[in-house]
Amino acid sequence: MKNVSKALTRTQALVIVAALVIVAVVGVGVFTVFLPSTPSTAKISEVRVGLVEPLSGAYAVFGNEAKMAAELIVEEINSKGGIASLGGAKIRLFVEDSKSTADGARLAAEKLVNVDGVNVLIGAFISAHTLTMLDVTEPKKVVVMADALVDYLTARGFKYIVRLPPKASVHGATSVDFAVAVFQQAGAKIQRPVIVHFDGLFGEVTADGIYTRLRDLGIRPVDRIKYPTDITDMSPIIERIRQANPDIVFVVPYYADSVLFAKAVKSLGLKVQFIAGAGGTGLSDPDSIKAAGDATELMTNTYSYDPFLPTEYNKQLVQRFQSKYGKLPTEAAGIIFYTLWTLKEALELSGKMFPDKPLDGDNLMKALFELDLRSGPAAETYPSGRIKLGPSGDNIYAQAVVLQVQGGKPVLVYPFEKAQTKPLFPRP
Amino acid sequence: MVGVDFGVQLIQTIVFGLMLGGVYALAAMGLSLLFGVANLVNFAHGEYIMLAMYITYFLSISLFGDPVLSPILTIPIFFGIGVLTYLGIFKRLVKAPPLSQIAATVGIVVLLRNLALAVWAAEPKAPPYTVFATSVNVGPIIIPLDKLLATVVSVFTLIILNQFLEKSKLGIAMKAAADDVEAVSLMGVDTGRLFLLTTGISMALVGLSGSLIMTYQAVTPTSGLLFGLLTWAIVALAGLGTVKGIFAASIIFGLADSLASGLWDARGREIVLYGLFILILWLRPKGLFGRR
Amino acid sequence: MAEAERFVRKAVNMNRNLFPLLLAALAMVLPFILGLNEYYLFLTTLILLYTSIVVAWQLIGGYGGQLDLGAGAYHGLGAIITGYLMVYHGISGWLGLIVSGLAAAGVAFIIGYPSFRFGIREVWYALSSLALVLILQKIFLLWTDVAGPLERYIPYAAFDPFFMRSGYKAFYYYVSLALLAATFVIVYRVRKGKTGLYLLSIRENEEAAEMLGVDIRKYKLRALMIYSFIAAMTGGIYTSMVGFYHPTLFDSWISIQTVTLAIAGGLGHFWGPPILSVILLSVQEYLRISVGAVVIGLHQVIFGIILVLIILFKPDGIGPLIDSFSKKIGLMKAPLVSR
Repeated sequence: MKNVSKALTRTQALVIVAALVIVAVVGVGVFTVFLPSTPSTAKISEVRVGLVEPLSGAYAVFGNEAKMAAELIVEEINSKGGIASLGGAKIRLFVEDSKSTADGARLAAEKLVNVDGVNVLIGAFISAHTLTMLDVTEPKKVVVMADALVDYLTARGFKYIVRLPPKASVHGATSVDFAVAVFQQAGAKIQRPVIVHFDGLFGEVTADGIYTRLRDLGIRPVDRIKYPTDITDMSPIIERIRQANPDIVFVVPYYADSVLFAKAVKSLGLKVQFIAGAGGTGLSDPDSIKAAGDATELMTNTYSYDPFLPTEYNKQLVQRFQSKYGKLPTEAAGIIFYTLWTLKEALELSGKMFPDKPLDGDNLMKALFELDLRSGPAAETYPSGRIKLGPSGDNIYAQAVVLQVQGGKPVLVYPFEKAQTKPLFPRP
Repeated sequence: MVGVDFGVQLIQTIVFGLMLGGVYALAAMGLSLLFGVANLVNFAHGEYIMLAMYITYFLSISLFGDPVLSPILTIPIFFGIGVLTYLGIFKRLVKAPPLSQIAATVGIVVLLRNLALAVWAAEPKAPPYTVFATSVNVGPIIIPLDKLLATVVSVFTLIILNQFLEKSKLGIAMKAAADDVEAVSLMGVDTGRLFLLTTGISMALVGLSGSLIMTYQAVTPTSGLLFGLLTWAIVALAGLGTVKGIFAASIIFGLADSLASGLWDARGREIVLYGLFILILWLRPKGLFGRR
Repeated sequence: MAEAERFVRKAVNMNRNLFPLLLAALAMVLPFILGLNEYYLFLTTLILLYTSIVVAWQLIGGYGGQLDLGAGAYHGLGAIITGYLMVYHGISGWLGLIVSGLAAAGVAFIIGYPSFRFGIREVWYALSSLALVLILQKIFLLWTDVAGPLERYIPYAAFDPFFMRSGYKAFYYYVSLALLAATFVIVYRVRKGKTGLYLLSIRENEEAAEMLGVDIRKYKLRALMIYSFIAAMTGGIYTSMVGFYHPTLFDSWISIQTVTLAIAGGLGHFWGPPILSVILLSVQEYLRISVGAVVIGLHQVIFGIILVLIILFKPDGIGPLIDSFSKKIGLMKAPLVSR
């Protein structure tokens, strides 16, 4: 026994460990170089689509709405025969929760790309979370269709990303244009705007959009107030707004903070002529109205989707969504509607253009850029009615709309030519 | 003009701060009792407050429709939770070293925080509607009625508690135990029962303060972290003494909280609150008003 | 079969160094067992990083007896400083690890010196270290030149080992493995050295140790600084792997997880905490994928219950169990670290 135990000296142990390290490192190299790339199968039976959404956490309201929408549309596409040009291949949806954190989105993307082997990834609603997924998708050439709005998502040199909804800066500018027009109609002018926003990426960029458009119109905001995303008490913020004595408050909230904001405005009796949101989250969607009660009355927000768009398909889709889930589809669901339908069109095209490798990332991107949709379900659910990607991967014909809470219900008030009713102004 | 505006804002911020402090006092009192009387380190105090806020939220949306009524149930529920916690966990910890007490109650933190996450999900649950969600103007100063109500109830409860500790037999025994457990036990007081009741009362106070906080604030599963540190900081400043000490320390922290978020930046309040806490530990380890 | 069994028994009996060696060998080839799957490698790397913190925590918690909840603060400092240097100054992550480790040790000194000087102990020490996590998070949230509320992204690189950036997770796996191994060596050496002895004497009876002339402050501070250095390195590796940093990396959950795993593994025990850490974190990940997807947070509820039960019914943690088990199968002649 003693002899044997001496057999393994420290030097020998070190040699063994060193050898193992070398073997491991060389192994990694060999594996990564010679690892066979995904074999191209002749017959494609399914298209794997990953969906990363915040199903839990601070933004869960949106993530769950997006998931509902995705399930609805995928079911419709599959029941109508799948992707015809791919021999009727069905879309298979893989949903992962980002937990409303950047790490969570990253982990979800890792799993979808490396374990489930998805061909396309849709997500992650929060721009910052979407950015963390691109490190994972880019090297594997997985196409990302973003449903997040921050401008530079598509401008960071990543090749395999497209985004259909209007950018955050468009939301900010739309909010300003709308408010200016509303003031004008009442014979007034915006003189003392205050910008209030949460301090995340999306809040900053959208507020920048508001600020820039105001500056272009020669209006200087009297204050710009940031608050933390996880704020639990809004009264200091309301107090600062009151001190600034504004005629209009532009606000970029998410969901829970928008509810707190609306309630604090009401309970502290903040007097301001108009409160205009930007960015499509909070204030005038059905969930926020339900949570905040009548506190959101007459507040507005900008959206990437118009649930009241009077096209045949949209009417029928909204009705189906409402009867299935009991609520009006807004921002999160709407983006998924036209994103998935656009994907479907792109897959059809890719199947025709590249019958050998229709799901290859490069080919799918070519097909996406080739599309110019003016009819069909995708165009019929898009606010401007047209989808054509520009070189950056953004829709050239992007447009945002404004919904106002009137009588406890969201109604379309802008653009005026499409509006259901006139915007109500000023607040009592 | 700027001067006048700033004056108004300052007074307004101070008013908010005083009201916050009044509510914090109630939240910290339960912790102080448990730590003082039973010498139990409850690291999960904040998590219990969070739980009380969630239960208030649940009761208000399902039963009462208004959080103001919820203390009718949260107080007895939390007294019960206190009794159960004592029998299940604290009883084993009373004689354990502080390190074990912290470790076990950190386990409760993990448990409660994630239980809340599993049941209520992570998005903030906004305060349900209360009829007091409105305000009155006193000159240029705004007094929100929901906060005012919470403060008044809190102060009133503390006065009663003070009377209880000064006058009643049980209260005097509790105060005596805070000074010297051995002596009290020699005098024939059943310390087990005393600690059980203390835990119950401590938790009942948590239940009430959770309900009051919920009338104007939202709750998330991580809210416990904030209230846990804040209440411990108040106890650190107050020292283990009297209701009055806790009250004074709470007002100081309430003011610091309000001034930091009102005059500086809403995102900086934690820096001020916890920075103050660490400074207090360094400079006045026995607290300002403490006997120990 | 009997032949094989005899061989194993013989091999086990051969040398008690064999146990860590076998472990090391397994850890070496694990990426290949996982088929180099990026997702699984990502998860195992996380487990290695968190386990490193748990092992390092033994210095201040297990031997020094200070219930430090500052792991999240040092981890976050490592992440943000390493990330900042990579993003804004193009400085290699390797250098970033060292710089952030030194910075974390500096912060540990600034906080630790007055704390130990003024005799902050027990619950107060635990609370002040937890407060540090939140204070730093908010400071970096407001300090927009370095971090701020927006995520900062490290430039993408397919494979750049000198910059410490790689698209292949195996790279980070081996880096983390090396850190864990180094942490084991450091903790072992400290434990066997003078510092370890003094720290243990402080933990057993601080007043007595002081009266015997042990410079309590010095040894506590030394333990705190080594531990914070290692925790910062885990943060640096983490941020390079995920490719971005943000003040939420100052995460109080890391503090709480570290402490609970270390205590449930056996305070001051050498093998208990890392073994429990690897097991429980793996279980947690497995639960996260299985039940966590159905009921969010349920996996951590289970985690919490396990911890409360261990602490209530096995206050010494699972360390002693491991000792008696390993003695039974003859892995060790005596517990590696006696209590």
